[in-house]
Amino acid sequence: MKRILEVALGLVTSIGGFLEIGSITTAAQGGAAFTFQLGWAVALGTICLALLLEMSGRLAAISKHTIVDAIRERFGFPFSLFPSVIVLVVSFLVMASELGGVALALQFVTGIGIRWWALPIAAVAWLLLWKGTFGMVEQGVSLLGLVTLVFLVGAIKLHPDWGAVAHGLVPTMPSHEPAHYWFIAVSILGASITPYLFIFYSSGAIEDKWDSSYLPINRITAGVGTLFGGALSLMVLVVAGSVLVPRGIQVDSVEQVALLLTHVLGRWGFILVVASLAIGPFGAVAEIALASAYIAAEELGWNWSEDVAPRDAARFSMFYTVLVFLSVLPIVLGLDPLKLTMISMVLTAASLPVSVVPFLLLMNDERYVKEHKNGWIGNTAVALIVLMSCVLAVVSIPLQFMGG
Amino acid sequence: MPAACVARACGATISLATACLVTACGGPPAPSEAAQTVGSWGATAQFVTERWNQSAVSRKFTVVTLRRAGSELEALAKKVAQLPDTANGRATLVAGLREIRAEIAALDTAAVHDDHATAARIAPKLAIAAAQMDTLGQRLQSQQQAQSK
Amino acid sequence: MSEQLHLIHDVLDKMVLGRDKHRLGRVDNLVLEIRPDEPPRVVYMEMSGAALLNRLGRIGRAIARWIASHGREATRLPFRVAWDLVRQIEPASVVVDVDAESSRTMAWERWLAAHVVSRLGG
Repeated sequence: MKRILEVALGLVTSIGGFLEIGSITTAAQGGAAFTFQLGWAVALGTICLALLLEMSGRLAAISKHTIVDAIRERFGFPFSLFPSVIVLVVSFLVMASELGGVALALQFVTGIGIRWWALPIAAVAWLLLWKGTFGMVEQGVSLLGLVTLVFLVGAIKLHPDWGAVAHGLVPTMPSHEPAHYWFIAVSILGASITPYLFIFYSSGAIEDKWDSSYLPINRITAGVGTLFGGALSLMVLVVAGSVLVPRGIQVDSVEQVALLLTHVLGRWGFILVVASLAIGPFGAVAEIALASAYIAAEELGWNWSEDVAPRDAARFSMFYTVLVFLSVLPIVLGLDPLKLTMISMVLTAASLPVSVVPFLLLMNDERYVKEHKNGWIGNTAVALIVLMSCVLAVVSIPLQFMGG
Repeated sequence: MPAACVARACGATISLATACLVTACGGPPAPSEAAQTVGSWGATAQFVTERWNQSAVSRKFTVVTLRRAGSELEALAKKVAQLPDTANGRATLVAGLREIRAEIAALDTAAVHDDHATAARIAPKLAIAAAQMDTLGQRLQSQQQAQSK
Repeated sequence: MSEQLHLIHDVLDKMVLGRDKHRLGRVDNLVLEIRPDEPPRVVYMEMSGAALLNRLGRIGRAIARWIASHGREATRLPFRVAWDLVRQIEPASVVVDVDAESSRTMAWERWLAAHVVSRLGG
């Protein structure tokens, strides 16, 4: 019974906690620019994330190591420092963009500018981390995040051409603006496959003291849960394609995203989308801060746990404290949250091999995962998707900005 | 060591990406791109006004969105002014941009004063102007693609 | 054949736990003693920022030297655990007969807990 409840909670957490500012805005941009044609990027990113999350849970359950812990131990400090620093830097940009997303949602409701909201949001996120437990951070906000199911409801009510949606799941060449097409594809992949997610997941598995008996739960929550969450992201793309393309509206700001369901769901469409823009990113701010503290603590050997009082893991707690309040700076300094989101998503895609390649090597090392090594399908799928993301990022960024 | 090579390659990629993203902030856009962006913001302003008149969105959000549209088009106007006089479609683009900015400013005033009647009168004109800009953008884009072949 | 230990794989960079199973840090370096007419032997495990910096090449070593020349006495001396105090080498950690809570390597942790974290209600 307890395990059934854990599976149910894990599934709900995966669904409710999936959408955040990066996945919402990149999917909306994809839908607005190319209708359903970029569905394949959402699908590919989701599949890759599901595989990586399952692997990180498996690594933690069998080896009793988190990803960062295992990379440091297996490859040594001089090598492990590089992916840790890269992931920390990119994650910081993502965190700032998520904070900006929450601030925008509050601006939409109150009319008060985002610069005024940045610090209060950071303070509330910090309070959740300071006083809360791992379960509260992971599951509490994700349960509220079920509000994002409004995109599924809206997509169904819009009666899109589901055949065209299915067709979009197969990669095709764009009929116009190829540089822009591939740029959005890269940003969708970067929004889906963010390293902080699987680092957070593996640390969480250690916090929850997983062992080999949790492997089936891991497969369901990481695999099935993520696929459902990815389906929600696809629904955002479908809604944007159905609503914005006929009106000739591109997504250049989050305001345009907030309008997505106002026609088909009226006032509730506005309220629930704005709630989605607030809750999902808020959860992401807390998770990224925690994931970053996990990285630093595991890399350097500090005490760490979200389930102990901050004084019992002082360096760990102060690290996320400093980070949460530093993330206010980009918004206070006037950086546009949507532009910051796009930059951080593309940089995430470009930096993926740095964190994923050593992780894949660990998943094939019997000393860590014993008889639970990766199969060739998992290895090939992850390696190909990650390599493709990086190559696309290298190619599409100059094309996008140098008039390709 | 292969892993170190991967790490160095990614470091170089990230540096290139960051440099490109940073340098992207300058320079005028292509007229086709600018026209579609103008049309997009015009359509956004019309859409939010229509939703506000249907009570689907709040007045505060309407004002925020209209102000956002206004500031984006103001920034775009400065970039469009850098386009050479001989640029294809420039004159139509500048005229359309001016008209749409004026209508958005009028909508902003109407929204601030909770004047639904004025907003309802301006919105259809804005929709037409936005559609014209979108059509211009697509035409210029087709011409560009035909020329590059 | 007796069980073998691979110093680099099984010890270096591993998490170190104290007597009470609290984290002490990581094995940042291993120190061997060179004895005349006898083979070298492991004498210490080092846990310190300087040990880490020294593994980062020329720039890391230069930073470590600068810190050593400008820092307080305590920061100049790396924290070392005698090899004799190793009690167990587990798959995920090295357990040593040291009281983690009062050890010098936890000085920053204790200072932050007393002067900052507790004042923030942590």
